[in-house]
Amino acid sequence: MRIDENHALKDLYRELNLCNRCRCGFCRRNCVTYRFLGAESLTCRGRNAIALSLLDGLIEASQGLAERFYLCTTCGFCKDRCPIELDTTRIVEMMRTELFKKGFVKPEHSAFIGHIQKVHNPYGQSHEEKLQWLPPKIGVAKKSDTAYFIGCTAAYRRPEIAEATVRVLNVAEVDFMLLHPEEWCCGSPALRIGRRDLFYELAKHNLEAIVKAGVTKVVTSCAGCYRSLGKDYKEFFGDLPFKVVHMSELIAELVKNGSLRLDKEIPKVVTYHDPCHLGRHMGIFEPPREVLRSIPAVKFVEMPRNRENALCCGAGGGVKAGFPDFARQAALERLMEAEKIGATTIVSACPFCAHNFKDVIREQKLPLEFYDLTEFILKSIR
Amino acid sequence: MPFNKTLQNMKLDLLTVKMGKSMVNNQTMSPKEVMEVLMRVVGKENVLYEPYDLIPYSRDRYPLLTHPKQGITPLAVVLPKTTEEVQKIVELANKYRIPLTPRGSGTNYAGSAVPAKGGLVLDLTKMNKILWIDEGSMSAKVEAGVILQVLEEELNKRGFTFGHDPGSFPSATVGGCISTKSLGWRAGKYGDMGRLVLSLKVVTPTGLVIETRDMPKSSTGFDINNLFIGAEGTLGVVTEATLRIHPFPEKMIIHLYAFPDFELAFKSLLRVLRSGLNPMTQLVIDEEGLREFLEDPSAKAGVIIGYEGVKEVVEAEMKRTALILEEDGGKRLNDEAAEDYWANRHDMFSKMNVEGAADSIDTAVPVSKVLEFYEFIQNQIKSGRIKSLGVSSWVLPENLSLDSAFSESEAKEYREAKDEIVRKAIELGGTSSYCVGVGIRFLHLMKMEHGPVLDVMRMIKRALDPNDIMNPGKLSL
Repeated sequence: MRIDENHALKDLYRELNLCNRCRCGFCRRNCVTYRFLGAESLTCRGRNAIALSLLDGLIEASQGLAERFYLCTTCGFCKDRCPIELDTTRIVEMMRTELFKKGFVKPEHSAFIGHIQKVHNPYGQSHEEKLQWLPPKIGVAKKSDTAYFIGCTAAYRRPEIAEATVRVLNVAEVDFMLLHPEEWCCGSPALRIGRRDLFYELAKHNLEAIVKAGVTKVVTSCAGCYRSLGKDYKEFFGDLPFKVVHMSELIAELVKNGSLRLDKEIPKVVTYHDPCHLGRHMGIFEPPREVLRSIPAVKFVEMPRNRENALCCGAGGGVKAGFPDFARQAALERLMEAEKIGATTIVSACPFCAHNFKDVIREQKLPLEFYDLTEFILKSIR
Repeated sequence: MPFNKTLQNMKLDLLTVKMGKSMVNNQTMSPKEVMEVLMRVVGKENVLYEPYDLIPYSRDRYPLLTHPKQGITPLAVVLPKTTEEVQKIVELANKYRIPLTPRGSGTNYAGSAVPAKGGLVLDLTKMNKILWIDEGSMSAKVEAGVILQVLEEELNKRGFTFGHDPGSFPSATVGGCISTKSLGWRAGKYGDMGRLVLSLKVVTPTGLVIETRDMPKSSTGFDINNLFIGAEGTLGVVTEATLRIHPFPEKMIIHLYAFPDFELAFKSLLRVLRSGLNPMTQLVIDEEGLREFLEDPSAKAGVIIGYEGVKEVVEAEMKRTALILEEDGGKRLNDEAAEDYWANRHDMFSKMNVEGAADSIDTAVPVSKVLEFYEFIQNQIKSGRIKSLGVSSWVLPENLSLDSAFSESEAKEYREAKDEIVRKAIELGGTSSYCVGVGIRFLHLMKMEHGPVLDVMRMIKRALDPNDIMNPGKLSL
């Protein structure tokens, strides 16, 4: 392939060349994929060597090669540690786009992509089912400046998070509306596995729905939706006419201004897991910690790998769907880290992390409880 | 050159493998059979042979191999988890004359981890256990694939430090550092990697597993540790090491002084050393290397100097140092600049790659010749044949390095200019490399540097590795 200044992949090609010159390998250490599987081809540095070879026609694409790219959770550890500041997660997404064009996809990814195309969520369930979790006595405005963007995973797989979110908003007397039935998948699963075309379509729809509703603030309880709406939409469409806020930020603000009073004791040893899309990708580290520390009787403990160095739960980037065993292994290591420091409760702020952790806690019968931040603080509200 | 094999050729090799033809100079075992045996030894998931899995192992950080097409792809990569597995792999390789290239994180700049003769790459990064830490004897035993940063963090938790801090600290392995006798930023206090080794476990090329005693001093025969330190894996595979560890310093101070020129800065540093002071780190750097940290436009050079250890001692050492440097015209810059430089020390070389393929000519000459050699390097830079990103004397006063970057089209000219600089260092009584190693880059200069000493090295190699299986094509052995 000849990649010149006018080529669509010229930026990607330049970045791959830069990594291939440098080859420092600083990306290896906390890479969740490399840690489990151990092959250099699963590190960011290794993949970039493969990618350059592929673009320069030195090697043929194959399903095995494609899986080297699909095994990345896009956790962003490598991006955070890259001395030459390459956008490594974007490189993975771009390469997945190229591999998709060549016909190399994971069947599991094709399945959820098909669902998104058909019913606008990756789980294949109907729009009508999206609000089944909504308790009857919850106040939801028909029109408001603030919209709660539920997200597909909370709506269809972790309804306890969606329910806790609206309860918290009601307790704090935050007026909010839902975009339903116009809330489609935010597009994150499509973008992460390289389907930029589909992401564009979904994002355009959601943007139009948000603008039409006259909303100025969108609240998400999902780290993936938060990154997607807060960062990727801007990359594709420029500045947005609304603010995107994650529930962890909002809760911290509500606690600070007295709208939420967390005064019921929770005598538990609690640790916090940083979701990659909320932490490393978007820089939200402190608000959830501030909230947890403010709860009476909570003994807050940090895992050794926290904030920018947090280990990925293993579910992101299409890995939970494409490589479920590996995703479980990764989650187990993270849960063992929590257990080792004496935590009895692990709190996070992402339905995707919740999904993976809860699966493993149940399967392995681990003596740990998992809560989303929204669920956990409800226990502290009288 | 051994490394000009193209990927096209590699594909043919791989095709040959698939066709089952022998590539191992042996009539009785095909590559396919070799692979099957390896899989039985280490498990199927620990033998890599697909083209896409092999490409990342075709190069290390040798700057003249900037593109995968310039690398050499091995037949397969094996990832052992124990010394016993390594032993079985070595025995197989020795029996069937299969080249075996040990590799840590592949951060060497000389091509030491490039499989120059094909064969197998032995990736030791799954041997990554810290076996024990003994606070009483201040030592630790680790497997070869432990990453320096991981070891350091584990020791810090217990109030200790390892003290080895090369630029590749976040990714380099203990085994790689031993095999290249690497040097780090804190070596003024703790010494090079060789000085930090108490004992080694090694699988020799014929499959013997040996382990030296972890005594800091012994007078009973040859110093076998030093046979393997800096041998670049040509004499065997280091699988475990017992290392010296040190108390975590109570205090560390780093200062940066600006000087009107390199000569004054260098001479002032020598006065510091001659006064009996022993800095943890020291660096004399020219204008190019220190540009972004020099606030004073009249300053053409800088000295970065640091101490660590017991608080009162460190403060006294720095106070005395300051007197000398300031007496010689040095001007202390703000601490933020020094701290920035220190915080950036592992990343700075990687960042140079933005300018082109970054390389470091890590030459050393006798102290009395350093300024003459500095002048020679500056003339090479002025001639435009080589682009300088900084000339510096680093950690030991004998060391004089040139950091540079070159584009693909400048590679040939760069190589020639580099060659002249290195030859000059050898002529002046110095060495072509004070820490990176020989790898595939200075094979042609080994005789010039070592004379008959190289013959002794070759005799040792033949005695230990009669079939030349261990990292062949390196060190001009």
